[in-house]
Amino acid sequence: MAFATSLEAAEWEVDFPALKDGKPCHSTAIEVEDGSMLVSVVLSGADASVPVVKSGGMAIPVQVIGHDPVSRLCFLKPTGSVHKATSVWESAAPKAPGIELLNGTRRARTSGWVKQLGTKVLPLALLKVNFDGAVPPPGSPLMSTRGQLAAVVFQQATGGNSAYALPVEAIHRVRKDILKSGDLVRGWLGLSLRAEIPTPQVTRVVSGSPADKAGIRINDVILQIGERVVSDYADSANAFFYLAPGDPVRMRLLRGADAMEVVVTPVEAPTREGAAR
Amino acid sequence: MKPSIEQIGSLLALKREERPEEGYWQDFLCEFHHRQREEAAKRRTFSGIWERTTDWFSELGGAKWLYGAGLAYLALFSALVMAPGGQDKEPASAIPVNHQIVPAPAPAVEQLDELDLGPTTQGSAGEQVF
Repeated sequence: MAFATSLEAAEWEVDFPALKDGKPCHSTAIEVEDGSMLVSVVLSGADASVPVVKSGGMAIPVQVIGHDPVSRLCFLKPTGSVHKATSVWESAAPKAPGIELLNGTRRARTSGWVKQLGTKVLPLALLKVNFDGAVPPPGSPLMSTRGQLAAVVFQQATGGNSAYALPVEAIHRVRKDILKSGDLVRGWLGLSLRAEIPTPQVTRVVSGSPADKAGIRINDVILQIGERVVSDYADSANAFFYLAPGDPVRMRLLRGADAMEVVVTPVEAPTREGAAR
Repeated sequence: MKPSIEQIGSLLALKREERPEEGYWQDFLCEFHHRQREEAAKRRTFSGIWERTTDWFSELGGAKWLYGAGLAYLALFSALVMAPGGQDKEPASAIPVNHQIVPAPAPAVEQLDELDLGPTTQGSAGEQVF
């Protein structure tokens, strides 16, 4: 039944017009779990504020609830009378490679996580999937074999039938803030890392910040943030994306030769200094 | 037949009057100096040295065995010290090497603030605050 719902959700088409010097983006939208909203992906260069949504070839008026420029997820609310479908979402995308995912009749298989492209560290890790045919447009759902949403297509990879996909936990995270304030509010700890240092070592702690209050010091090496094991800078950046203001998180650190744990409660970033809000 | 006294007296009188040829003493002196130089040259050769050494040992009597053993030990010790050793037996130098390891510069890594997988996308490098 859930699989049939996913097929129905894939019928939503969204066209985002091009920004100045940008390019338009043709995407697909899917309904959130209770059917109250649509979520789609708008790539760089397209205007997320004036989407044109169609269902079954008919234009559907929508209201933009919120758009997260970090993950590029766009939440829309149909204003007219439309058929509401519900779906079930996984709590997280599959961690292991080689897991089969479905998009309608297309089959895809995960090939791993991508946290860095060349020398560019991504603000959150993406799931890489290989399709058995053409890559569907951005926003297309990728369902687990038990019919639950596991990821959505973000962008086609260079060449072949591979694509990068946003894991469902990222959609959960953004949706939580979008529903609350219409914008993603990232948790802020007040500690600094340097991307060029291979180990996730704290290089600075802002005085009076949550990290300072929790006892995190310069040169501490981050081993784990919440449930996410951290091995390098990119892992840390990915884990920090999921921090929410007010939600305490347990961090495991290495200080000298001693491992230690602290609980730190992120706050809303005072400014956009170096980190997305 | 034995000569008579008179014959012997006459012979001695003749000999008393005999004189060497002119230049005999000059030739004798040249011959003496020539032989003296030959003898000196012979002494500088190995055979001369060996000859003198054997003469010296033969004059030592019973002590020659003690001197011989000492010389043999000295020769053996010199051979061991002066013999070239193998490369693997070369002792490591105790002098610390004055070499400072300069770490390679870390490659530039950029942090994207937003998901943009385009090849021309720029990020912010350096320290990032989370």
